[in-house]
Amino acid sequence: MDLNKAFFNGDSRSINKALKTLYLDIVINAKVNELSRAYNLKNKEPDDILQEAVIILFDAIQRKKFRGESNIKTYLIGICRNLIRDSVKKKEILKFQEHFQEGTEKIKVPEYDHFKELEKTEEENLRDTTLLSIINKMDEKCRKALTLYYYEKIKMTKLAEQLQLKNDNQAKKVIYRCRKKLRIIIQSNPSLIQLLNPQS
Amino acid sequence: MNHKKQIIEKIDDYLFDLMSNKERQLFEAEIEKSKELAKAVELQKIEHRTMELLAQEELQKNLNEWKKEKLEPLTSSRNEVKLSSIKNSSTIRKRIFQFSIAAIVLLLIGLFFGNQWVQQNYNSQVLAEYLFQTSVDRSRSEGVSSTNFPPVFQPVISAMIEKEYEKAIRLLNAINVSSYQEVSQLLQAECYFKLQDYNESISLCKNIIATAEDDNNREKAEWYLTLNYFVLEQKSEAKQLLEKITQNKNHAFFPHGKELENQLESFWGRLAN
Repeated sequence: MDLNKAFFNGDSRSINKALKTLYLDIVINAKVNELSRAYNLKNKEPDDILQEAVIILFDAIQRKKFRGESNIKTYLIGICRNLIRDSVKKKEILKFQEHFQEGTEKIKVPEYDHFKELEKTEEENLRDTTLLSIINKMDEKCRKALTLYYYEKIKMTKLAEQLQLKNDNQAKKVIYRCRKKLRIIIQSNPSLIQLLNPQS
Repeated sequence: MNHKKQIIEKIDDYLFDLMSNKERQLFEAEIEKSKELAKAVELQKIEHRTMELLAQEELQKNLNEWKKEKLEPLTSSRNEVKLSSIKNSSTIRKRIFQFSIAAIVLLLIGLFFGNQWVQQNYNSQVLAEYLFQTSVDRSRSEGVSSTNFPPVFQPVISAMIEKEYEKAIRLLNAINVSSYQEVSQLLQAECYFKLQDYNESISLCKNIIATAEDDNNREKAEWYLTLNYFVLEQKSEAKQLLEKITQNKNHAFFPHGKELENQLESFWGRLAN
């Protein structure tokens, strides 16, 4: 499976498939386990780290922080290493193999600082926390419709098919209605208004 | 389509990276010029971020589902391995148990029939009777020895050939000739042996050995006595007497004594005795 193609040119299904492939990848899982042992990870399971890393990777792709410049698996392992290092005390870190083998290729695990740019600013954190509270107030139909809209971008035919609607127009109407609701909630939220008008 | 919707779609195109470079540059120039458009773009960015977070929430749900899939093959294969190993080991144990039982049964059957065979062929009584038959009866039935007997013994020999041993004893008791006493007693010892009255046979043999003037009769009595002892399992007496016979190459029953000794020394003879 061409992961880069799936992530950067694919629809919701191929993106999901690519994410699943990464999450279930044997090499990645083995490396995360090895990293967890090497860093004496105690408060989390290696799988928690991997799940968190997959979401960070996805977020990096969404925010265009990662555009497929490097091997996506290496990048994900680098995120895992970053998360693990942040979770443990430095003195407990054991010696760790800096490389891993994938097929005939020997790949170096990226350095810690490489992922600094993935960290959110305080402002972004506040925004996301607020938006997550908004998401929780949305009805299931709108959540599903907007998620699909995001994945499918403006391809209304696909959207109608997945939402089991009669045609494109119905899909457009549903999206428009949901976005209107969302816009009202956003505009009624003081902290989000602040983000929109930083000078006020 | 109204203007507002058109703007929303254009901003979507911009945020979704669906514009060409030229379109993008033109749109960005528009944003710089219009504060209202810039604000609309920022609002829509937040909408898009909401959708991104919705997609992330969806991904989190999917990850939890995939985790089950990740663990399932492990647990099921472990269970399969466990089950199959339990099944295999129980099958193997069952087989071993069945084989053991079968082997024990066969061994017991073998031991039973082996023991039967050994007892039938090698125990002292059987050996003694066999040797009595080969050393005394054959010559009697073949008439080899009968010619050596005086005519007075002919009815006795005939009765013995016919296996009428009691009749033979009565006939022998009727022969009241002192010179034939040793022969008469020997024949009686034979008859008692055949009638399985071994003690009577022993007593007669002992008497002959003690009083016999003819070495042949004494040696015959010694042989009969040896066989009687074996039948009665008086082994030490039997072996002592057998040794005497086998150590004397000139003894009339030396070959028979050796045969008996070999049989007793053989594996089966030892097993039976």
